[in-house]
Amino acid sequence: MTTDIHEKAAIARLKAEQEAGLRGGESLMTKAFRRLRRDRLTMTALIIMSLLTLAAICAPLITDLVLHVDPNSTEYDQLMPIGTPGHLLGTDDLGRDLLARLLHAGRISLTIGFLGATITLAIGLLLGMVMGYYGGWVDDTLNWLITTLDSLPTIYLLIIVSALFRPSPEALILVLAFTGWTGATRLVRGQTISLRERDYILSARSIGSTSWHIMIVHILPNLISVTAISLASGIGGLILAESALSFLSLGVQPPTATWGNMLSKAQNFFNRGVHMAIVPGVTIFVTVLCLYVIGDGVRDAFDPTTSE
Amino acid sequence: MVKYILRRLLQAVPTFFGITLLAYVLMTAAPGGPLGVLYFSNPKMSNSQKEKLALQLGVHDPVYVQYLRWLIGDDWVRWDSDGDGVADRAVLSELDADGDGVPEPPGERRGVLRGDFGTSFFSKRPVLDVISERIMPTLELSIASLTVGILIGVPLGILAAVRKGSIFDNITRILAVVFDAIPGFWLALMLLIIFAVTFHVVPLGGRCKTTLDDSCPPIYQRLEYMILPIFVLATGPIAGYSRFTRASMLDVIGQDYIRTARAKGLGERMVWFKHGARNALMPIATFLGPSLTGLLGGAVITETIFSYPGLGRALTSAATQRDYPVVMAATIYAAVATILGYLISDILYALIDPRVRFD
Repeated sequence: MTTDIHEKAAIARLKAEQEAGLRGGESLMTKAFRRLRRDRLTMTALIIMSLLTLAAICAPLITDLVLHVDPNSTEYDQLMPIGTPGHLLGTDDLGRDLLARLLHAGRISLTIGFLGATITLAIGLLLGMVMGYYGGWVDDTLNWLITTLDSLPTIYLLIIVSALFRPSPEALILVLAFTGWTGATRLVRGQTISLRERDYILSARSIGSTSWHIMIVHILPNLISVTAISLASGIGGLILAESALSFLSLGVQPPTATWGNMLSKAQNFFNRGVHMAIVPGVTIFVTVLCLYVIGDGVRDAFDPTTSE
Repeated sequence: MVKYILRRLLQAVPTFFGITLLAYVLMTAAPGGPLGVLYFSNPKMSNSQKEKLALQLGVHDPVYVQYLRWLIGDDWVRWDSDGDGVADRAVLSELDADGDGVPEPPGERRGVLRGDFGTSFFSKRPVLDVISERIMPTLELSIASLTVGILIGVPLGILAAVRKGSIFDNITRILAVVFDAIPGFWLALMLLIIFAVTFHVVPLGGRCKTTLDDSCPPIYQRLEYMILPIFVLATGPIAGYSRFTRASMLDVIGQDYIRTARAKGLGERMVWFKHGARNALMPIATFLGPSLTGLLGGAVITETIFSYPGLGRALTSAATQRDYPVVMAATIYAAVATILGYLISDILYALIDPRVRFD
């Protein structure tokens, strides 16, 4: 009786929508992208992020052809303020042009963020799916590992590993992924468990599909949207982690510039060179803010329960 | 209830062992290892001295024996700890392994489980002392910033939910994202530039004016040292709690009993605060564990910038100096604090929410 009423109500609503010229059978994807295009805040963040990425990719071209400075060339004791002719954003304590360093640092910092988050996600997808699908001792063992890693603040692990092993920028990406995979794994595991019990998985199993076939063909596509949403905020988190680490002089070592290690000496030049602290800091802040806003926006857009 | 607490405690045991294992593996796998650091700190050491040191550290034993000895100590077992005879196989050894008719004296280490973390490589003091004096400062900061975070974050979240969609709601949400995205260490730097360098309102760092008996005055007399670190550390909890409270409030307000409350004619104020907020605040207990982890993590950077002598700063300096015993102890301390935090928040939640089953 009650289902009958609900059904009728739903049909009526659909009809009303169709009559009003609203979408009939749009996919979640199309809806999501339309919502996204209308979300001004997210679009602004996307544009800023694209510009920053573009600037980082073209950094060598910009510094060579437009600015005519080398990010690593030093001049003894030449701390110049913002707006110095030839040095738009001033120079640091060694006379290195801040704008040029900022652009080159962006290459490293953004690469670490993007690659690190992708690797984290790959680990999360693989382990989470295996844990959620198989359960049993595999699940128990990995769960133990996750709880163990999660009971330590990530920065502790990062500091210990990077202080003891002194990783190169490439190795640092792996270190960040190694310490950050637990969140993504837990997310994927939960999703997999809820998918595992669906009827279409059962029917796939009944016609003799292997476990891996089921996981890759039937479960993985359903996980993509959930995990892709966490990618943007994951990148932001990693950029923050890398900058904190480099700030402590434990991350990427100079003269290779990253946004974090550009800040590490700022504390010694409070009086003469405030811009040394402001310039890289604002860049990190804006980047991470954009990534978080994008993450939130994409999540809202893909959330089927969001009303328009 | 007692059963629930006991079971929860039991669940924490494997996690704790996982942490000790992780700490141990990381330290032994590091290039050079502990011996390398000790050789390096004393370059004049002769080869026989080196060998003796190696025997004392028991590095010739299998790794699992070394781990066990580090964990449970060796004062209950006789082994050749002074390095005068054949290095016997520690725990598995006979009373008289080198066959000289005299049983070896027992070891002197009591092991991590009984609070013996060994001696610091650099200050040569017992690690437990080094770490113990760092606990209070970190605890001070963490508790203060957690309190500030709850006192500001929770009301913000409730009000944002009550006025959902209003300007206030939007400002709160933007504030939460901004607080999440701002690098803690950079915020600290900026605050120092503004309040310490430009206006000289607060000192650049430190904890308290050292007195003759080397003890700190009560907290209210040294607020000027704490105000900036607390603010920096509280940004995380403020963002987290306001977001969490808002979501929880909106979740509760859609429930049937709220409709019932409205239906029987209660005023909006009564519905929101008496029926809504009281129930919405329950899940916040579960947020205690994660926020403790966040605070301990944040303390590492904050303490370094503000020269605040806490656990986090001890970890950073020990890690850069490769003072392995101190690093291991700091790691285990932080992990135990986090495990306890999660434990307490679970128990709290079970206590205040009658719907949680204890089976």
